[in-house]
Amino acid sequence: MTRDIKQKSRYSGLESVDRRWGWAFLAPWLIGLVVFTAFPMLFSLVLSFTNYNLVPDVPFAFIGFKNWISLFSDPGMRQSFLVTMRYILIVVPFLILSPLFLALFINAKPLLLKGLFITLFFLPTLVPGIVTGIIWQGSLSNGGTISRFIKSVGLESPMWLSDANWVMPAIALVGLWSIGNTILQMIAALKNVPKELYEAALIDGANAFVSFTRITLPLMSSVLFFNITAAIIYGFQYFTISFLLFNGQGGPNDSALFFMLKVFKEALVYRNMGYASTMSWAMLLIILIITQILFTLNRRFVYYAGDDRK
Amino acid sequence: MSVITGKRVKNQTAGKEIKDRQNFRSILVSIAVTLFVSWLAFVFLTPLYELLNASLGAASREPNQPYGPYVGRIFTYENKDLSVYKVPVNGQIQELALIEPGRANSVFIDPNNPTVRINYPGSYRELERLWVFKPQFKNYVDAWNNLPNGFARGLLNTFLIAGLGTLGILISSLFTAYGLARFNLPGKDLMLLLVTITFMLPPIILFVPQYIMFFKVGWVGTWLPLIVPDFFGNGVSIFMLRQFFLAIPREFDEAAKVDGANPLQILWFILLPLLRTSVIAVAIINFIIIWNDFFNPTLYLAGKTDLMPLSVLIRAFSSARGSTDPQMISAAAVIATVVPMALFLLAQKPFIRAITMPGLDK
Repeated sequence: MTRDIKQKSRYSGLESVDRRWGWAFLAPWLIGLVVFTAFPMLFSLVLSFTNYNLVPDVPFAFIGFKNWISLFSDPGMRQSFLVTMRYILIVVPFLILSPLFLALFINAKPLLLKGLFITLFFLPTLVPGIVTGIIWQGSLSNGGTISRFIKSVGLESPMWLSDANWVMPAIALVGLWSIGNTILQMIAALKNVPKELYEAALIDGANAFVSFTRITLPLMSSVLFFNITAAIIYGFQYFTISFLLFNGQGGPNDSALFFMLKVFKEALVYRNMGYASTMSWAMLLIILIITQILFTLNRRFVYYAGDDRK
Repeated sequence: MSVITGKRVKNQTAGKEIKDRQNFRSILVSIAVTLFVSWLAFVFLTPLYELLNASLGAASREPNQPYGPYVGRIFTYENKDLSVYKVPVNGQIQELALIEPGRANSVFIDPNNPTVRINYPGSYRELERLWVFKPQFKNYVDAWNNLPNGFARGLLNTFLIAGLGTLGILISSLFTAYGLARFNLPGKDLMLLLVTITFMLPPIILFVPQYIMFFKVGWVGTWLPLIVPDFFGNGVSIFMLRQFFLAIPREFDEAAKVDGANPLQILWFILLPLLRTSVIAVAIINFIIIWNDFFNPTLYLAGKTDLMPLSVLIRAFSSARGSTDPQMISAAAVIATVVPMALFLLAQKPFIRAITMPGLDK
């Protein structure tokens, strides 16, 4: 009896020692979570109601909802929202469909040297953003590779980087170059589709198109959904490539005035941290709403293998 | 009997023929698909090839000069460098060196017989120059010497920033992942949710307040804002490493525990050796991300050329000399690209496995 109790207490003693170890391992991350994530978020929420400016001669004051109201009257803000929406409508579909297309080919049974092709299509994804910017600024310029190619076919090459109408297609073209991650994920998803399903479909007389739309697409829907969501969220924060393509400016007629560039300028050029905070919080709220909508759609349309949610 | 046998033999040959034909067809299909995908890959990689070409090309291009590492052929005569042109002489095209350029009348000499002067009635500008394939490897030396504060410094900066950041992410994320995977702590599920939230959280929300924080403590203009946060865990890495830990049966820990090992020893001596390739993959992914990062160094190192990593330095270099020395910028860009590519090729398999790990998409 006494022995039993003794053993039990020793056991719970070990458990609490274990817990202390556990907390010790988690401590750095927990501290970081507070210092580098939670506090800054709250801090910027508070700042969004102030006129806080890093230029010292602007007196600090709480200004209520003034920043939030000026979001709606700020033409730059409206423009950057439109640019982001254009990105989502024009560029994102390319960023999903072309990796899908490539993954289908790479995964196709007759293809030889699969491993080599995976490597080759992944290589551009490893190129630093600054280099991607330099390469494509050259390729898209007048007399660059792309326009030379178009002219060699006998067509008139658009002014990719100086015609506002061609800015988004240009950005889509550059984006298409770095789709390695998505290709890899889609190939992995394709490999996970059980072969028996295709065989069964073949016996039932389904053609390739039917088995693609009825088997492949539904079974890939979780990966497709994840990548669509990620591409849209990323679209709201698209920065480096357009910053480099347009030399840190908003492009012709502000057609590449992406949201992040607007916040970046407000914060670093005008040092207007209050308004910059308001803009980032507004964007976070928009992203949250869009993700919420996407997740609702997800619950309705997306199939997860081994899912126990009913 | 013999008839039946003959029929069977006939049938067999027919079957073999069909099989052969099918094999033949599938080989043709294989070749066609592979050729098509090769063409796509070729198009895909053309920009990289062009970059390499540009990095080996001449500083300035004449209108008819082919793109890439071509320079005009030169014939040196009496210590003068003469350009070689294709000149029509008596209805024949000859390769001659221009000695006296003129608008109405140009004088050439034959490189094989330089003493004879050949008159061409017309401007040398109407003629086509001869180009030779000659990669300008000195562009790399020039880029190395001309980058502000020297390329070596920029390269060292990049290695240090990416190396220290990766080290920080690795240590802190390993500890956190281990803590989440192996210890039965209250609030474990909530913490796992928080890990997921931190890596889904758009960085846009953090950059303004973090910039203010680092500005106030005087860290703007130093490497600290680029490195210190990495020592406090990185959401995606924690998530990936936790998955790796979960794949190892707990019996390994238990056995070591019975032998008297403490959790740190279990992590170091038992689990890490088992996870070596996966941990290396996570390290390489993070190293490449930091190596390629442009946004954060732009934010925190503006104006500090001596501290800048290559990404920002090349941009500064390119704004200053991009129009006059594009070949040097291209050479610098090639050097900055080689490192992440080499790392990827070294650890391709675990790298791809980490990226396509099941569970990341849910």
